Amino acid sequence: MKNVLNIWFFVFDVVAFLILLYIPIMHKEDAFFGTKVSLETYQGIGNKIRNRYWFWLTLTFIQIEILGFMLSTYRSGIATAWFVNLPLLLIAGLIFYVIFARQVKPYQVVDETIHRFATVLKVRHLSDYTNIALEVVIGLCIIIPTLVLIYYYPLLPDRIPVHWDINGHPNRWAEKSFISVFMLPLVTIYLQGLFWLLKHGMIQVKMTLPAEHTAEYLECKEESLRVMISLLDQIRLLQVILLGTISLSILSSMASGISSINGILLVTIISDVVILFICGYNIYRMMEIEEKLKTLTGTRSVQRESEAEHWYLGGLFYYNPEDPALFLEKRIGFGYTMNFANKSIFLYFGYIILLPIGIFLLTQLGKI
Amino acid sequence: MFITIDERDRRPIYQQVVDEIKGLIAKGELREGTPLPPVRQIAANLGVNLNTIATAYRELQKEGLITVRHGAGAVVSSTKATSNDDLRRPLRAALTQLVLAGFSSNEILEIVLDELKQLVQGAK
Repeated sequence: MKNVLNIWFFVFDVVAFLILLYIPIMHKEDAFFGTKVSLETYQGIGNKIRNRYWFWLTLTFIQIEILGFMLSTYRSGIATAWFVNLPLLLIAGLIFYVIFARQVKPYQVVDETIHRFATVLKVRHLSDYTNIALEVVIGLCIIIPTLVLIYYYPLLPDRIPVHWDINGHPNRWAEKSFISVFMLPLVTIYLQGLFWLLKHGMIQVKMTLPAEHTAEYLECKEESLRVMISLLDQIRLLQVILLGTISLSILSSMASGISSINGILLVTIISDVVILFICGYNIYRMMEIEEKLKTLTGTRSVQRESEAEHWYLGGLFYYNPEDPALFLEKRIGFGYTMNFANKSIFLYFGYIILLPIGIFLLTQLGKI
Repeated sequence: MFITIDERDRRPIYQQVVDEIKGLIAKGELREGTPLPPVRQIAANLGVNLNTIATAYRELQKEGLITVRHGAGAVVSSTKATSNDDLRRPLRAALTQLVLAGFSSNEILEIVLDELKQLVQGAK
């Protein structure tokens, strides 16, 4: 079991490593380390910079994996790879990325010939991006486990196990209470609220269109918005199924005292695979749309001269107080990011920190 | 259905937005009752200040081309409500300019017909 877990975490590390390798060259010369450069720069000095980045990242990756291997062998922590390797790898990747992005920055080119911009006069409604059947399924996946929990609530013992060790023996107990039994459905509703907020913001994503090829450009951008919304919907569905299943299996463990930890692990691993698959598939679709845009219009993105200077950390972070947009297209990778100068961002972050604060308060009150 | 702005145009951006939306209404692409996107959305897409688009919307509202309801956003309103004289005034101003520029009546008529033809063709 332990080996399976370690191998699984190693696979995650490798995937993260490959993504880190690929990110700077994802959009080729249009966003090389987040910076638009000329094709000559990209193929000349750009190649050298990229090779240096790859060299240092690979070296670091090998070191981190050796460290993780030693820790998991000598300290026998099962999740060592997850808790040490992946964050270390991501931090190292970020540092290297920023260092090399600074080397690329001086080669930035801004297309000054583009000074005409267009916008579509269409109002996007959330209802146009809502699939009723999917919403019903998601609703059922929340309601059914909750009803089962309500039904079995009186039958549960007063002292219920809430935590199990790797071999499935309970090692932490709690008083039976509303919170300790209904924790997962509550988390599900909380997460669905977060997804709803994201979806609501995403449909108002900023779409800067050039005045030439406006229709083709709009078509591709609308299509990628649809892909992003469907990705969000797929993750929503997966989330309710996953937490619904886990809360039911926890119920059976609570009732019997024997953990179904293997079952839960299996469900988690399956859903990890599904998530990887979903993300891969949607990234593939986004790449297809980008190539289509390139063939139709000859460019993958239009960037305003006034905007280029508001991207920081090699196109990872956007802060522009002059820009009323909240969601906008990423410079690096696919999908959307947020304008961190927009006040609405507090709504999102406020909502996100609600969960840890809530759990902390409930723990302090001794309800869990 | 797009509107376009040109950063190098001598007209102020808000005027360009007003002219573009007016053009779409004239061509019949923006029909009565069509909702317009929120000010914030257009400002973000075009990369201009919120106030620029708000001014454009106010201008259009003043001319009776759109109605802005609080909370419901802007909607293209009926253009028939404006009086005949209100509609003729800009035409008169434009004609005055053409006369002052030294065009003969026939030439002016030709220009007007040509412009009208283009407008009606656009509507189809």
